[in-house]
Order: sequence, then structure tokens, then C-alpha cells
Amino acid sequence: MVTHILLRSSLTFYRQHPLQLLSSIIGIVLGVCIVTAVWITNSSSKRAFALSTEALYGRTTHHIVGAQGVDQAFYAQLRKQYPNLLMSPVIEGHVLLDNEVFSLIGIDPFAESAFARLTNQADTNSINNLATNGLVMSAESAQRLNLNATDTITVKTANDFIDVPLIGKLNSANPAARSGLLVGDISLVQNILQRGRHIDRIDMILNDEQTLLIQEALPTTLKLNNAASRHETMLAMTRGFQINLTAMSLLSLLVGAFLIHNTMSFTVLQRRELYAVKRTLGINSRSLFISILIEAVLISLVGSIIGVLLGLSLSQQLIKLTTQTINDLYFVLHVQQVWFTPGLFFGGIVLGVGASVIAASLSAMDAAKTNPVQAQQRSATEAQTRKILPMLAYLGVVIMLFGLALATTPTQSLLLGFISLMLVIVGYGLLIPVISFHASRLLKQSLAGISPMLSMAAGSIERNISRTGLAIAALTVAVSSTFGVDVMIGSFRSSVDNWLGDTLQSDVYVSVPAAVSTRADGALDNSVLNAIKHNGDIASISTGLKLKTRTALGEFDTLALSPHENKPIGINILDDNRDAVWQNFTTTESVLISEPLATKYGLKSGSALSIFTELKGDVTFSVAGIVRDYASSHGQITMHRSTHNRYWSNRSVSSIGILFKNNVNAIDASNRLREQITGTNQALRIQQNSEIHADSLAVFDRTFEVTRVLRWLTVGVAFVGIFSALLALNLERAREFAVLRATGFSRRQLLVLISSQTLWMGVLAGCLAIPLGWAMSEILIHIINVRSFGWSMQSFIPSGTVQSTFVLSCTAALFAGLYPAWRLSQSKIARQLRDE
Amino acid sequence: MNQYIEQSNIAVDAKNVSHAYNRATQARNIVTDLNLHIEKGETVAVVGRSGSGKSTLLNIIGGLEPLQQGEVHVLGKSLNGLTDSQRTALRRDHIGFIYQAFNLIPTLSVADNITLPLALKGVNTAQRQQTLEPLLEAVGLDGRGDDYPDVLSGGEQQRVAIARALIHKPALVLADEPTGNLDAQSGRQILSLLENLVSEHNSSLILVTHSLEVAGIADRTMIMTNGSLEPAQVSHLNGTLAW
Repeated sequence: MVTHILLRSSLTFYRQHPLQLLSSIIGIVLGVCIVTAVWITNSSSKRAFALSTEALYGRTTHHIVGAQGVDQAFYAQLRKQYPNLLMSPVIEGHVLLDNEVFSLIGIDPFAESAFARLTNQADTNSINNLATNGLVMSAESAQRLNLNATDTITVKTANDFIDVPLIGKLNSANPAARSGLLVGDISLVQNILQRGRHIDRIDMILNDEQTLLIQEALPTTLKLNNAASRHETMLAMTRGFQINLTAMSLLSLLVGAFLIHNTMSFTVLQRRELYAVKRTLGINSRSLFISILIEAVLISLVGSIIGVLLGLSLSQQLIKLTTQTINDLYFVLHVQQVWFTPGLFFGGIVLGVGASVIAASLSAMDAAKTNPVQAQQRSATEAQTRKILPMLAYLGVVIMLFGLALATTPTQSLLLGFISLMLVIVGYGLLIPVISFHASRLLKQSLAGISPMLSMAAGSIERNISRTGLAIAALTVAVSSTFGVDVMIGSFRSSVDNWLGDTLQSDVYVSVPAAVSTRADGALDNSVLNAIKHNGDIASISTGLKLKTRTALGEFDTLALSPHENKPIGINILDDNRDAVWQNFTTTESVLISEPLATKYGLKSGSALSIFTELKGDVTFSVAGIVRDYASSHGQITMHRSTHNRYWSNRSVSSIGILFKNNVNAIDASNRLREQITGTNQALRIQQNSEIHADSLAVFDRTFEVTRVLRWLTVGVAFVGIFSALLALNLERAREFAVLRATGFSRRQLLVLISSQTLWMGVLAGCLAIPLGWAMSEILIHIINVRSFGWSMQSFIPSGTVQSTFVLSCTAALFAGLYPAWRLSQSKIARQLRDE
Repeated sequence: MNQYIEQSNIAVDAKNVSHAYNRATQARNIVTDLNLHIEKGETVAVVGRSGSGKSTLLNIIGGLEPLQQGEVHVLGKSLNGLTDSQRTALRRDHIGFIYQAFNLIPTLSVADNITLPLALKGVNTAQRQQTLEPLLEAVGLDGRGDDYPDVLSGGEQQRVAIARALIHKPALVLADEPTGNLDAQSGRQILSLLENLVSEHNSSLILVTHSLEVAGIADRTMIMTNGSLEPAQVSHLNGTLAW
């Protein structure tokens, strides 16, 4: 009954302060929206990957794979040897059609039926027709491109444009098979992708007994892999990226929770005197506490439901950005559908309500326990706050130091990384009120003789520190998170930029254009190689062959490199003894590994790494050294071409780096080279190092597009939080401002006074946000980033970041204070003075 | 404007003033065809029932409520056509307000509350302090300048409000039920203080009150009935009518 009355009272309060209710709800909406959007995006991309796997592998339990594919003769022999086993050969590649990437799958239609993939059972005609040497296209893609089953399409491969008849459309219950797929008979696809007599793998459906049988029958150059482990390996590739997204969403949540706490604290603080009256009337502290919590639950429930629904809408945009990144960096993913489950819906609501209740419970406890007589004295509240400020500051320092100590603990735990980040933010947050108090007092005293009004504005912040301290802390945390993220992205970009500068030492690069950036592994024609070798402008060339190698730790991109003059040009070795590393690399059975590979698996120079080779099966290589490489967060192996050639038969080259002679103009020489080699039969990509540099940075920027979107949403959360705080703060003082107006303050002066207060809060928050943002960026760069991706990088504060952070803080505060200032300056003085 | 005001011997001259609330919907006339003339240095009490429009009249004279109908001159200056900032300047420089609910600024100390009008006029800290000290002594709050309003008793708060209203030596003081929240003894002390200070500063005082005892300090008493003012009759003053 008592609670019922108390809730009615709260309802009336919010009815009288609708804007405050609205801003509280919006704060929660934005916080929940960001986190659920990232959850939905992550789960959708995982599901898209699972669907793609299901579409491509069906009931497959195992694959037979080789280091360089599998000879089709082996497949024929295996089928003959085990006619009763379920097996099917597969080739996978990518082609371009109308500038759209398609996965091209080659299968044996007669062996397919048991695997239940690519299509549903109701539509097996399209697969059965494959023998007629044409391709079947995903139905949705065909419809989008306005293609019929009788049309001829021109696909672009690494080496050529090829006309192929379209002979059917692929309908499937699986969304992954409904778009982005072209399926053909294995022999046709072998021709299109120029795979000769090789297939990529043999898919099999085996029981335990059959597995043993096949394992025994395989030569050392082939392996029988579990299908599930392949799925896991590929999923692991995107884990760093997904962790990064989750990190951003958690950062937003942290800022959101801080702001929710701020908002809830304000609504409670504002009613302290009212609560005191209620306590005086006999309402016990428990009932009061419960009523405040119920209020928080109701507000956050509304905010969370709207937040989850908006998050669903936002995730539709985010999934496009993340799919683009996954396609740029990892593997081709065609599904862009949002995967929204009841679990995600309720998870978002629990998160929003939980964060709000925790935030509100601190304020509720304070309100419920405060002495009713003291609570009615505003100065007592302020005096009490002033008294505890130093204590809060000491506590803040201790928490911050603990956070920093935790951050430097030698562990790979991401969770501990996040906890340390959170502790630093919370600890610093506790320091903010005391700093704001003294800074405002100093400003008040300094301005006293110069501008009484500005002095009054500063003094008002000092005297209302119980409220203003919270608002400044909230704005500081929010603004610092944008600074931290800006510096992290800037440092990352600058490191990538420097790395590209160090790595791209050749003047010009020649490669085979790939359908997708992750598969630039087409072979260059011998005619091209010969033409380059006989070009008089060229001083030296480096050649590379990209391949995928399987190791005991998983599958990794590998570069077989023949460097310029056998020197470490363009190789960024991180070890101190660079010469010894290079000596080992060029002369012994060793490889260079990229930093993420070393960090994730604890490998260092001298470690052993077992790689599955084409000619000799599993071979243990020694790690010669660690190289900086930002191309792949999954990790990359570099081996000398001579080492490669001892274990693989492939002698082709997929890219060439060219250094022109010193006395030759590089642009003229590359133009001459272009003319010379475009006359060959192969489509080539000839790029100057500056072009690759720019393209790579463009991919980088695209990768961080999601982060940028999330960062702006965090600013949105911050703005709503500070708006809500300033609105509450200023409206609470409506009567005070009315007295000022009655005493002789003009409207303009009142506007100036309130705006000066909010601007000063913005200035304080801006100044305080920079050290916190810097600390956050250091933890993000050197702890969280290293633990999620394995990349180390130099901290770099992009030019203008400090200024823009400061301006953002001041602008946010000023804008947030503008409406309350305007509203108060317009309000009727007599009425405000009459209202109690 | 200042020169004009200093030369004027008339504190307030209101003619045919009318004022209504909720004019757009159901209009409720608060002040109807009201006339009032107050000389410089004169103290006038306005008595009447609750809701009779006394406070509204003060607010109109103080420029807190816009003038809807009629003509009002304050210290020789017509309020008709004055902009909001001109009305603000008039209040800041020439009018002092005292309220029943004290209306002190809770987050300003006693000293800051009292010197606020001087700060608004741009008087520097040293001069403000100089003016403050004798006034604090006069209102019996010597040594309490650093206290905050909520640790003061009602009587003390009202003394602060009186000091604030008079620190800039206004030509006109508007007091709305200044003793309404005080006990009889404190009320008498406040009245005496107000009377002395107003007289010392040669200010005019309009005193709105329910109490005939309070009205007793005035040079003359007006009664507000049905939105209009009329001089008090003997029957009122001998206490046969009460509010």
C-alpha cells in the first residue's frame, strides 16, 4: 500500500517533469540499442557463417585435403578402392560477375545426393542437370541480376573472362545458398578456375570405423580432417574482429551505465527533500528503497524494450559493414540476414534493466538511509558531499592504481583487460568531483573582481558539487571514451601506414587480379615473368607465392618469398638480432611468423612449428623470427622460396615486386612496363606502391567504419546523459533563478549565467577527459588490442584530436544547457517565486 | 532613466489597472480598475483576504507580471511599453523585494545572498564587503555571513532577505507578507527592523499583509476588495473585520 502511494508520487513527479523522464528513457534506449545491435550483429554473422558451412558441407563429417589440393587421380583410385563409402570431390573458388563476388563450387552431381547440401530435396533437378556443362546460380542472385536459366554469363576469374551458359537456378531453404553461389560440374569448374587435374578436397561421410580405414589408406602428403574443426578454424579467424566489436559495445555500455547511474542519481537527488518529508511522515527506509527501485525497473523496462527494437534496426546496418569487413579480411560471406532470437531480446532487456537497477540502487540506498532532517537541508547535503570528496578521491586513486596494476599483469585474458579498463574509468570518475570543486573555487575567486556574474557561475558549480560533480564526471567519461577510441584508431592507422611504408619497398607490384581481396593467389604467366626479367629499367625483383598452409595450430595464409637481392627489404623484423634472424630464414629450415600468430600461440624465435607440406607431409620448421604484419589478424607465415620449393611442387609466382634502377624515372618506367606486359595473354594488376598503400588504408578505414558508428552512438548516449543532468540541475534551481530575475537579472544575463555554468562544466570535462581518454587508449592499444588481435603498435594522438575532444565536450555541454537556460529565462518569475 | 527617477517625488502611480489570469480560457479577474498613488518615502500597507490580488499587485508594480490594462508609473517611469530588460534594470537599480517565503538562494551564503544586488550592479568585491558589514550588524547577523540559509531560523532568514532588499538603497521596497512565516515576537522584530531601515534609506514601502498589526507601521492602509483598493475604514482598523 505504502509502495503504491510512493509510486503514485513518483508518477506525479515524472508527469510534472516529462522531459526528465524522456531523457532518462532515451539514455537507456541508446545504451541498450548499441549493445544489442552488436550482439545481434555478432550472432548474425556467426549464424551466416554456420549457414554457409551447412550449405557447402551438408552432412560431411570429414575432408581429405592436401597441402596443394588433391590429385583427381587419387579420388578416382579411392572411389574404386572403397565403392561403398560416401565421398564427393569439391572445388571452391571465387569469380566476379557484374562486379559482384560469387563463390564458384565444383561438385560431382552423381556423388552428391547423400551430402544434402546446396539445395533442398524438393529441387534436385538443378543439381542433376549439372552434367550438361553449365552453371546453376542461386535463385535470389539470378532474380536480382535479371538472369534466366537460358542466359550466358561472363565470369571474371583471376586470369580471364569466361562465358558460361546458365542452366538452372538454385532454390534452397538455406539462405546461404540462395544468393552469391554458382555451382557447376567439377570438370567445368576445374577449367574455369584453371586447377588442372586438382580438386580442393574430398568430402566424406564416415563413421568411426571408416575413419580409421581411410586414415590408414592415406599417403603422408594427404590428411583426413574433421569437418567440425575446419568450421572452428574459420570461425576463429573472425574472433578478434568480433571481440573488438564487443569491446566497443561494452565501452558504450560502460558509458551508458555511468550515464544511467547519473540520470537515476539525479532524479533521486532532486527528491531528497521530498523523501525526507516522506520519512518524517513515517515511511520506512525499506519502502522508500523499494519504491525507487521499482521506479527504475519501470523506466528501464520501457527504455530497454525500445532500445532492443532500435538495436535490431541498427544491426541491419551494422551487419552490412561487418560482412564487408569479413569479406575484406577473412573469407567470403554472402548472407546478410539479421538473426534475432528471443534470447537476444530478453538479454537486451535484462541488461538495460539490470544496469539501471544497479545504478539506481546506490542512489536509492543513499536516499533511504539519509537522516530526514539533514536531507531537508540542502547545505547539509552539499556539506556532506564536500566532506566525502577527499575520501572519494583517495578511493579513486586506489581503484585506478589497482586497475593499472591489473592491466600490466602478464596474462592474455581479455576479461581482465576489460576489468582493468573499467577500474581505471571508475577510479578516475571518483576523482572528478574533487578536481571540479577546487577548479571551480579557484575560478570563482579569480573572477570575483573581474566579472561577478562569471564568478557566480563558477561558484554555483562549486556549491552544487553534489549535482554538478556527477554531471561533469558523466560528460568526462563519455567524451574520454571518444578520445580513447579516436587515439586507438589513429594509432592503429598510423602504425598500418608506417608498416605499409616499410613493407611496400618495391616501386611497382604486378599480380593477378583476384575476385576477392582475401584470395589474391592466381599464378602469373611465364610470358609475364620473362617480359619482366628482360626489362632494362629493372634493378631487382622480388617474387611471392601465396598459399594456405595447415599447421598443428590451424590453417594460415603463407607467403613463399624470394626477396630483392636476398635481403630483408620490406620485411619488418621485430627481433633485436635482425641479421641473425635473416641468416636463419634464408639458410635453414625456418620460417618467419607474424606477430598475431606469435602472440596468440605463445611462439617466439626458436619455437618449433609443424607445417603440413605437399611433398613430405608434416615437417617441423623453426621460427626464425617475428615480423610485424597488419595484413591478417589471424596470423601469417613467411617462408623463403627455396625452403618452399623443397616441400611443395608449385613453382608459380602470384606477385612480383619490382625495383627500378636509380637513374630511371619510376613513373615512366612503370608506364613502359605496363605497355610491355599488357600485351601478354593475362589480365594483370600493375600497381605502384602508393596505390597499394592507399587501397590498403581504404580497407582499414572500411574496417573501422563500424567502430566509428559505435563511437558516435556513444557520443549520443553522452549527450542525452549530460542534457538530462543539466536539465534536472537547472530546473531544480528554477526558483533560485526566479529570485535572480526578480532581483535584477535580465533574461540575457540569466542565459549567460546558465550557459557559463554549463560551458565551464564542458571545459572542465574536456580538460579532464583528455588524460582519461589517453589512459583508455593506452589500455585499448597495448592491452586489449594485443590480446584480441595480437598486434603491437605505437601510440599516436592524431592531430586535432585533443582540440576536437575539447570542442566536443564544450559543445555538448553548451547545447545540453541551452534548452534549460532558454526555458528558465522564459519562465514567469512571479509563478516560480510563488511555487514551492 | 536614473536621473528621471531620482527627480521624481512619486513612488507609484497606478491608474485603472486590471489584471486577469487564464485570459485565454476562463478568465479570472484578480485586479479590477485599480488606482494607487504613493509618495516618495511613504509607507503603504495593503491588506485583504487571501486571493484578493495583493501579491499580483506587487508583482505588477515590480514588473514581474506584465501590465495587461491600465497605466502604472514607478518612480516616475511608466511601465507601459517597457521591455523586459528595461523592467529588469528598474528592479535591479531601484526596487527591493521581500517575500513571505524569504526566497533566499539556498546555495549562496548569507553574505553572497545579501550582496547579490550589488554584484549585479557590477560593484567590486571590496566595496561589497564594505557595504555588507554594517548592514549585517544592523540586521543582527554579525558574524553569520558565511552561513547558508538553511541553517538559519525563519526570523534570521527574513533578516537576510531584508538586508538583501535594502543593500542597494532602493527607492521602493515591495514586501509581501514579510512576517507571514514568523512567530509574533520575531514578526515584531522584523517589522521594527524594516521600518527603521526603510526610514533610514528614505525608501517607499508597500507592505502586503493579512495582519492589521503589521499594517500598523504604515503611514496609511489600503484594503483590497474584489480587485480594487480603497482606504481602510475605522471598522477595519479596530479589528471588527479580520482576515
